[in-house]
Amino acid sequence: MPEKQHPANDHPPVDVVGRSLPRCDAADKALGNTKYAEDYFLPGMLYGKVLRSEHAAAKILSIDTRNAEKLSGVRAVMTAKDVPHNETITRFGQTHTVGGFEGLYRILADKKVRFMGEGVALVAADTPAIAEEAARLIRVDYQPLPGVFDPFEALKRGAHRVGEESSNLVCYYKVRQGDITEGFAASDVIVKNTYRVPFQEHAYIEPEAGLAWIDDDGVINIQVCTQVIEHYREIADVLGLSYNKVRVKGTWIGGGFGGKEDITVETYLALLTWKTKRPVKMAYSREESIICHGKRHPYIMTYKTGATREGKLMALEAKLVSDAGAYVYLSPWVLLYSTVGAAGPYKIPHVKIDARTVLTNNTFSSAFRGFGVPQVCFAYESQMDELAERLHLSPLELRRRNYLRKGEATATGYVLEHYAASPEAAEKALEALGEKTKSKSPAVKIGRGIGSSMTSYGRMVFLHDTSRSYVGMELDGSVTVRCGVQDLGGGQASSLAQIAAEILGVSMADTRVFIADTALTPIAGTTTATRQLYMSGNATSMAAKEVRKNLLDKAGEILGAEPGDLDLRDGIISVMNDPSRSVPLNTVVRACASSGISLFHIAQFNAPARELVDFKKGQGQVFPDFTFGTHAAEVAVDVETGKIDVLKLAACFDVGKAINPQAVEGQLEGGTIQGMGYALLEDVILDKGITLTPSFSEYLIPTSLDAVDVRCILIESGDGIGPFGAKGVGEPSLVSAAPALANAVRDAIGAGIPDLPLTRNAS
Amino acid sequence: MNTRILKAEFDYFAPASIGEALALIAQNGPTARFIAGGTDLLVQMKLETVAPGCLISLMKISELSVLKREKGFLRIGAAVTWDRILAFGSEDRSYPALDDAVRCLGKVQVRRMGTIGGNLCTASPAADSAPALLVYDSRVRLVSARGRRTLLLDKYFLGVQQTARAADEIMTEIRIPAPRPDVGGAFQKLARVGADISKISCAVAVERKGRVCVSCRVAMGAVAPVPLMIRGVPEFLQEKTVTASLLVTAGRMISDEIRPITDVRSTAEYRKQVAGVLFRDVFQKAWTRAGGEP
Repeated sequence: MPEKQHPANDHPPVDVVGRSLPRCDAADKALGNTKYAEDYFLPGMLYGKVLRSEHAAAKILSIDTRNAEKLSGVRAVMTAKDVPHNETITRFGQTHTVGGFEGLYRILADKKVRFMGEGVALVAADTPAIAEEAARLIRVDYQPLPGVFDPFEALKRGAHRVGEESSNLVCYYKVRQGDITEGFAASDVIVKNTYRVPFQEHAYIEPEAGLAWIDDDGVINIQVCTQVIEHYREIADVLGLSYNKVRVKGTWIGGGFGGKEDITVETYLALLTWKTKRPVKMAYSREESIICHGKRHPYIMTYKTGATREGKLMALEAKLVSDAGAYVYLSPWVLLYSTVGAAGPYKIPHVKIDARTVLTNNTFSSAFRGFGVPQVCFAYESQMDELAERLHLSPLELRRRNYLRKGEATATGYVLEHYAASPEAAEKALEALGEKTKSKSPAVKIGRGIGSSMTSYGRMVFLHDTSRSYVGMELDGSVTVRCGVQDLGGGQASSLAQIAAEILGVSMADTRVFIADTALTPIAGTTTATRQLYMSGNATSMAAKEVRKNLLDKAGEILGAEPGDLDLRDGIISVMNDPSRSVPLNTVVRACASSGISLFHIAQFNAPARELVDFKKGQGQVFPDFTFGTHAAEVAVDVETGKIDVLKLAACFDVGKAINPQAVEGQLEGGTIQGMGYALLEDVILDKGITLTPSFSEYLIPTSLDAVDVRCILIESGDGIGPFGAKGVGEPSLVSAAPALANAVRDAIGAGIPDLPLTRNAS
Repeated sequence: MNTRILKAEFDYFAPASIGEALALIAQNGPTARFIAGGTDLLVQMKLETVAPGCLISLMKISELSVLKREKGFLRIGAAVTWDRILAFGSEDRSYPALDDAVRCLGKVQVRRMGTIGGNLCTASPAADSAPALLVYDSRVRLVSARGRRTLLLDKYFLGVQQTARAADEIMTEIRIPAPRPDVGGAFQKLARVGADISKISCAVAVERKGRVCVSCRVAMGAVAPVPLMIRGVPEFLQEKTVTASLLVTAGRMISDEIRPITDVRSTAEYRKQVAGVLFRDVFQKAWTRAGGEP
């Protein structure tokens, strides 16, 4: 167990933190009262529509919008030439500029289209049907180009060039540690395989939607479901406006998973409202959403892993190639996560990794829960089970002999500063499966597998990440939190309420969180990278502690006691050793107010800041900290039909401290089932760039009928760097689910399947 | 195309009698369509693959919602929804293959809205009710201004989404003969998730006497342009003592007889390979239900 608690944990949790209290957004969601982005209306609003390319690769010879403009009820038609600054740079909301990662993309296609579904023109009209019809009346003359749809083809000399650059290669990272020749020479067993994983669709329940208008001050307001309200700066850049003339207000979100990390409808809405001076609403259909937004990157991964007879890993060589699709978006960052994560939670003396991401004319790839780590985890964990088999060791035993512990260095030379729970998590996850199920038929084989991972939480340390939060005490003793956090449905807002309530000695019911408004809430950064509890939780905790300090100082005066001897809970401040001496919290609040003592505080939390790593050697610190955990699975495979039934799933993670255990379990269950979909079902099928799976009739995800009860085990080491020693769990919860299932299938049938999904009808 | 919009303009009628419905289809020209639960037609309209100028709902016609046993038949009105058939099946166990099919056909929303007649009129090769109804030797009743007729379901399917029903004909009911006492039935499908269209499906009705198969009927879905009655196997199994190896042979015969295609849900190769296995499983279940030793 950890030797010390993180300094953030200097307030002993007592009443609110650590309890499975109903989330502050739960009741309204259960009753159907919560408004989502599409539920907002304004008088006189128009409906926006994007005309999208039907070609994956083509030159645009001409666009004729005259017939669309003539249609009654059409208020605006826009093409690339009407966009003030049509070329922009993808960023994901960072304030610290790091060169070399940004990719150009266009608001609307200009001269050429690079993927099917790329926006070509915009329409605003009185009704959705008129907007549809107008889009149909826009005549675009395309000259189809051959395109390139395979990353290896795209790397060849003379391949079709997707963008304007001289090569389709987006970037190339290397990790060099030790000497793999020496490592493989010292290995008794070497396994080598090539793994392939598909595009995965986010499939959030809420497709992209938003509403924009210009307010009385001439500010463009955009109310939208987004993981990044901070895109307001890029939207302002597109329009050539100053940053204080664009306001983005985030709504409660029906799932993001990374798919709402890039800009979706917001720039289109801003352009149309700016052009028409009227409110404009836009909502994608499911088909449009699946066709046009970024996907999880497909990877082709060749892994060679060597170990000694004693089961000691000696060398790992990995070659990763990912399909970035038609625009760069976040591909370089995703690839960096894969590169840093490619060796997994293992101590390996000799490591060589070569990672490339390549443009093609497929749908672009970008952020998706796990951000490049689920792909490599599938590969390195499959390698581990094959090695275990060859070495006649149990998969758990082989891992035990190689897990990284605190104080040991990763393949990228970062020495783990905090408790690494891998051995404990793996044992507990496997144990949670209970007794092995007996097969009822000779054709049905039962198998078990585990998958372990280390997944970062918090953004890359060279981005110098920050978050801010306001905590204020109202005069009636209730608490207000203002924080620019986007809530994806994971309880991001509610956890802040729980933290503030804990520190200020009030109930959750007396705490209100206002979220996601670039004009009114302190900027808290993106809801991505499993960072909000860590970053905004720390900021909220810092702000609440400042307010608490002022309250205790004043109460000390009133009670004639030292502030350090006072206890604040349930709305009462009392002397710890003499509870008969007490004063109600709201009396103290009013006393502060009348004597000019501040009852609010805005705190900024800064993540550890480091320099950029060297991408030729890949050595240095990239992430602030990691979450360690293991998934375990038991499956039944019918060897005559190939049918895989998932019998049991377990997830054990060191979450540091569960601020709300039920909410943490919700994350673990959701991530595990999404990972199960990745393992068994999900596959965006593209034929020369054309999406063949544009709806939930073709693209299947596990529903409540398919989900199994996930047995969640929380380890609370207290050694995280979030509030109360918490770690992040949003993304880690998905990462190792697929390899656990793949390894269970391997155990059942006696052979590994190197491709996801593990379909029963390989085609 | 935008599936959030039902783009086409259309007239809508909900007549209370068959006579009225037939008059409306005659009056409203070639783009008029009958609609029952709409679980398929409305999707097609949103996808703009069809654009009827007039929809005539059959859901208010009481004759189409009959569900009762009468004179050696089970009569199921064409507009009876799946959840009613499901409720019927939990009380009356005479048609277990149909009950199996309805249990895995769609989920709550489709069961609440979708109808048995609609399923047969859409005539998807993967329609889950079709193999079960085929093995029970069902008939469909059709009515038009030209009169009434009854067709064996086996003669009703003509091709992918093509049937013997004329556009101005209304399917009124499905009639299923009461099975003989020693008949057992079963249906199973292979699909990717709980709520999914079949990759392949199979229904069996078998009459058994001790260990002997007196007669059997086998039908499969998603293996041919129509829900397919299997011809060779029933003859092969007739009056034979059922053994595991006999069923393996029968399964191989089925794999040879079917003509599946490759689509987004599965491949022709997989469907051929797995058909025999699926048949054996379903036969075994029906056999057990027919009583006696499994």
